[in-house]
Amino acid sequence: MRCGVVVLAALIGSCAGPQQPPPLTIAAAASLAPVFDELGAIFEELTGAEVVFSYGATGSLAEQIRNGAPFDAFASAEALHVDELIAEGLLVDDTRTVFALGKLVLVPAPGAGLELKSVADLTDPSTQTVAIANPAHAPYGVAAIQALQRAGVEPQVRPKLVYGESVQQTGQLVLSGNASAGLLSATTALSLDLRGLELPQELYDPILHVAAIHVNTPHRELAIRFVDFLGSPEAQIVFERLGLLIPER
Amino acid sequence: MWTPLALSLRVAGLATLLATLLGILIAALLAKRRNLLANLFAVGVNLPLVLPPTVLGYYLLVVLGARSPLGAWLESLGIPLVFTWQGAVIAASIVALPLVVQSTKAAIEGVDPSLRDVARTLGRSEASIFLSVTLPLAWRGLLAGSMLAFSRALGEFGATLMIAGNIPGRTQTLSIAIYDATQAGNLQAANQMALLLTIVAVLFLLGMRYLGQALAEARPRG
Repeated sequence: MRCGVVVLAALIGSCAGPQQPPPLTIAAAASLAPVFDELGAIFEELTGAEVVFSYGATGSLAEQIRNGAPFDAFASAEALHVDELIAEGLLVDDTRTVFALGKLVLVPAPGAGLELKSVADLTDPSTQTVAIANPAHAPYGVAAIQALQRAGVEPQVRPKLVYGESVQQTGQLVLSGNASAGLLSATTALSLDLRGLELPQELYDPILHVAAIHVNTPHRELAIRFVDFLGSPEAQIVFERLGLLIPER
Repeated sequence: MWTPLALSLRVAGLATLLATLLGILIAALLAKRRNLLANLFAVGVNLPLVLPPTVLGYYLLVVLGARSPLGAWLESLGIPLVFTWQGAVIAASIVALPLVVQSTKAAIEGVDPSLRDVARTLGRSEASIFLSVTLPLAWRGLLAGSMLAFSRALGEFGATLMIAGNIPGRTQTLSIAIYDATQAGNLQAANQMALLLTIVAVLFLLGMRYLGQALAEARPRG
């Protein structure tokens, strides 16, 4: 047992060397991962600063920020959590930026042989299950339910729905063929090489992508630069290519 | 891929040590005790097996986070636990603890009490008897418990994600990096890392089996 204590002390000692200042750390919605990985590289080239992304469910990230997570900025796939954190005095209101809008796409499972021309086609018996992100907390899930309701097919499609925990997991349900079709973000569909039908914008409320910096960031200037960068033409090219819309100013 | 692996090994290794040391202590306290308090305590120690890890992680975040008195106190001492790799060690230790306690307690209870009585007639203290008689005879259970603990700690995901976060280079263990890559649709990276984690776990468990067999031959039971 004493030996264990010595080993323990040695291990802890060896780990607690001099620490470098942590790089710019951005909490970002998991649905943004394919986009931000690419943007991060461009931002690093522009500024010479290192940036790391901590991806997660928006609700979990918000809860982590409330409990003292060392994030310099927060980029969310919906406005609610950012606005709550601003109201709680944890994010800086002046830096709040709507940098992109999400697109919802209707995707049949590869090899399912389904031809889906509209949301209404989901009522056809050939579509057995429809995967959507959990509308209780995922923004694309909320949009999916709205689209079904506004197309007037929600009661018929409801029994076919299966929920993914996130829009990425929902994409995997479709990719693996476990769901006949899915309502996904265009970004997720592209990252999984799934082809689908873009749904008309009137079918769902705008999926705002909002960013703001943390009030206590030690990298205030760099964090502001990152949020500004999200609105820059360089970033917008990437957004459009990876399935997001640019907000009108 | 190598940074998350190093972090995973460090976190799982330290968590196993912590859980083993604490587990022996708790098992010694609980062994052969049948009163209500001991039972309630035993149930409490086992709760991490029941609770979904994410929920456990959320509770830990609330108890140790910046908004709690305990978290604020730790922070004032300069040892913040949440969103650090040390936080990941705490999470992994707590989920691994019941595995050590269960198997160690069973092994301690299986030691022939007459051997302890013999030691008592020699005037040895209870602590000394525990360390030099009971524990060496219960080593199989202890070894099995720490093996389970290490395996559980290496694969730990939900509680760690919540309390330590998913910060690449700082708190992103291999299990979390695999999850992150899957979420990002980067299945190739996820597969490579999952293979690496599997290889590490297989090598470790094989090594421990051989160690256990060698020990059994060197020191026949009883």
